[in-house]
Order: sequence, then structure tokens, then C-alpha cells
Amino acid sequence: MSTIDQIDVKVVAIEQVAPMIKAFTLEPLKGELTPFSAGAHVVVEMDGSEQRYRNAYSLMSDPNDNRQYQIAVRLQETSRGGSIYMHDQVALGDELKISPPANLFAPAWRAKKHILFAGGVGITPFLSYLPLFKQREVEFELHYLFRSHQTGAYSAELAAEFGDQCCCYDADQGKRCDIAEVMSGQPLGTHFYICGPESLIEAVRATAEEMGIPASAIHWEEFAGAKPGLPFKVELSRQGIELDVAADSSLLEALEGAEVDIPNLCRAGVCGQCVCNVTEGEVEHRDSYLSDTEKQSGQVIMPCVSRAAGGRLVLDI
Amino acid sequence: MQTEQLNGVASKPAYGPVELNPKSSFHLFVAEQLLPKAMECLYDACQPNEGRKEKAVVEDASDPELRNLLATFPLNGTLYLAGTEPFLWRVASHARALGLCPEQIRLMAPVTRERHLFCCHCHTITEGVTYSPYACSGCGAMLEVTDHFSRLHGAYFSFQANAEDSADMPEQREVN
Repeated sequence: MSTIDQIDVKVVAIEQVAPMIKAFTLEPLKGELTPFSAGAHVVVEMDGSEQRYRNAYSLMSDPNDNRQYQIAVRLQETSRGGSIYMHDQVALGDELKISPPANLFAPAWRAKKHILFAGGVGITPFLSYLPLFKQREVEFELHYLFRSHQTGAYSAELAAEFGDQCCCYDADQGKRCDIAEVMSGQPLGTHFYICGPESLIEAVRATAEEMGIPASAIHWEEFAGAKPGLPFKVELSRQGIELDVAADSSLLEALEGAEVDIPNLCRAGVCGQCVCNVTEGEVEHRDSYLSDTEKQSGQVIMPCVSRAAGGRLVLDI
Repeated sequence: MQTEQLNGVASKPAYGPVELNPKSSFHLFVAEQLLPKAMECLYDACQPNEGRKEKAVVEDASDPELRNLLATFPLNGTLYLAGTEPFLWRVASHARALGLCPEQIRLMAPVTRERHLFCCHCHTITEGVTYSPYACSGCGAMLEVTDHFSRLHGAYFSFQANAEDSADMPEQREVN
């Protein structure tokens, strides 16, 4: 895979759209941005004082708007720091580098009806779906689950714009979504989309399985990136170097820190781009890309999320 | 003479054993002619707890009655198909257009090995083909039969055999 140049952008607006969520509007330093497809994300590069963060965020602006992109960042206080950096360090007028858009969560356009489940900041990819749904006059329902003390960005605007097509469930006001009820009795050709925490994804998938709804009609995107773990050492056998992977750094970040270029798109164990061959050491697999057989073989690793199970790994790089 | 084989192409469908989907609320069994024995067995074995089952013989893949049956198909229904290969894939293609997912459409192995050929020169489809090369029913060209299968047309891609010297025809061979 060829490396596509990063795009230099400037932060032209920052808005607190929910207690824990800030929205950032980005404009290119020169030229125009490319239009993107609904559901696409960009990887934002942040130069922290101690480390460089690269986090993937869904584009939530209108896909046809090439003047600016918008992303939303939920503050994750227990995460490895990217969201804290975005919330605390990034100011109006700052410059950032972003990757060109990539899409692992596009709508299934053959569907007759689309049902969207958004959990908290998981609303973001769907915000880029909605202008297209409206334009193409496709049938859809948006089920938006959030806690208004933390999340729930744009819920009032969405409810006002889409009326009955948008159902909001604010857990802080005791409103719960009955997933089975939403999913039952839907017509042939309905596809379901989930963006939110793993628990929401699992709940919808389990309900679909229970109801006999085909698995290929269920689409999801987790917004969890790499989670911290224990520190370990990695040896790159072809390059003959050894690197330390810190507890709060991913293996991919450690490789990038040593100027080892690994193609990647999602940084969340989904797209499969960054796969590396393992020659020694046990792997703690955390991705949802490799098959069970591949995981058991112990010969491959997705360095964006997975780590060494022991103190050391040897990669064929 | 021996022509170059393009038959390494892997788009020729493979048909495994068909299983019932126990989670379905509606099981529709459709055959092109009389229900083959294997499908009768499957139909008899299908004992939906709360759902229902139905069987139908439909000679034409575009039969409006079939389309009506499919139009009221539930989201968790399963369609089982038996017949010739072009029939299977044409019905499957209509079903996809109506919103069925691939795993809701279960195809039993075709009842004959006869192929439909799609001629890349005149776009005519020639039916009932078991040999290669075979004369196109549209333009008359002697067509080399490949294993490159179009799921949309339910037919195999074919082209002028030995195009450099079409007077020198390769020996006829059976295609499976």
C-alpha cells in the first residue's frame, strides 16, 4: 500500500456539544478537502509533549462539503490521552495533521430500510449518513441512546429535524431503548447499524441472532481504539533493532515512533491493514479482524490494538 | 490442437449441502420443476416451531407469482431453491433485489450440468450447453466455454474459440 500524504488542517471552530464532547471544525491550510463517503473517518495526529497520538474520528459533516470537516471527541479520562489532548490542548487556530478519509462503515445502499443505533458519541458517523438518506429519500429510523450528563450531542436538533424517525433515549432520565421491540417486525431488506460501546453492539447482535435476522444485515463500528496494557519489548528481526512498548502506547505507535512505516487505516483492530508476522513470543489478540484460526496460529498480530502476552515479541520486520 | 485454458477462473459456483435455518419464521421451497427428492426430504424435515413453510413449483424465474411470494417475505425468512443453474441464480438475483441477504438464499446443487453461455461477441445466451466449443445461437461463432460464471446472468462467459484461426477448431470436450 502506498502512503498517502497527510492533510494539514486548521481548527476553525471548537464547540462543547455535550458535557463530555467537543466538536472540532477543520479547514485545509491550502486547497480543498476531498468529498468523502458517509461513514468515513480520519486519523488525527496530535503531537503531545511526551508522545504522539493518532486517533481515528468519524467525519460528521455533510459528505459533499469539501470546505471543512467536522469531528467530535468524547473525553475519555481513563484512555491513553488522545482525547484529553484534544480537549485540553487543542485551541482555535491550531494546526493538526489528518489522514485522508477512509471508510469502514458505509451504508449498505441496497437496503430497503436503515435502522441506526447510536450510543453516545457513536452518533458521529450517522450524522454523515443523514444528509444522504434525506437526499435519496430512503427509509430510516435513528435510535439514539445517551446520558445527557455526559453525551447526547445534537439530540434536540435531530429530534426537531427528523421527528418520528429519531427516537432519543436519555438514560439519565430513565429512558431505555427496547432493542428487541425496535428490531421485531421490520420489513425484508432492513439493515441495522450500530456505533457505540461494545455492550450496545453485543446487545443488537445477540437480538438479531435470537430473531434469526441475517448476520450480513448487521453492521457496526466500535469507537474503541487501543487500550493500555503491560509494557513489553519487541525485536524487529530483519532490521535488527529492539524497541520498548510502554504500557500506555500501542505496538503500532512504538513502531511509528521508530520510523517503521506500517500501513494502517482504522487503528482499532478492524481493517486489517497493519497485520505483521510474528516469529517468536505469545500474542494477546485484541482485534476483531483475524480469524480464530489465525489467532491460534500465533503467527500474526494486529499491532494497532494487540500486545505481547509475555514480556517480548519478535516480529518479521 | 490445444487452446489455452482460461478455466482456472474460480467464479464457478460450488454447491455444498443445504441446511435448514432453524431460526427462520418462514421457509419457502421453490423448484423449477417437480421438487427433487433432496428438496422433498428437506421440506419434510422442516418442522418450524412457530413459523410456517410453503413449497412452490415455478417454471419461470421471473414468474409474477414468485415475485409476490417474495414481496411478503419476512426479514428472517429463508428461501431454498432447486432447479437448473440459470434458474437458481435468476431467482436469487430477484430475491437480492427485493432485499434478501445472501445467507437467506440457499441453493441446492443444480439438477443438470447443462450451462447457459453468455457470448461476449453478440451478448446472446445459448442454453443447454454441455460441450466446448459450442455454436452460439445468436451469431453462430464457435464459443470456448469458460468457468467464469456471471451470477447476474446465470451464464458462463464464452468467446470465439481459437480466434487466431477459427477454421482450426479445437476438439470438442465435455464441460462439467
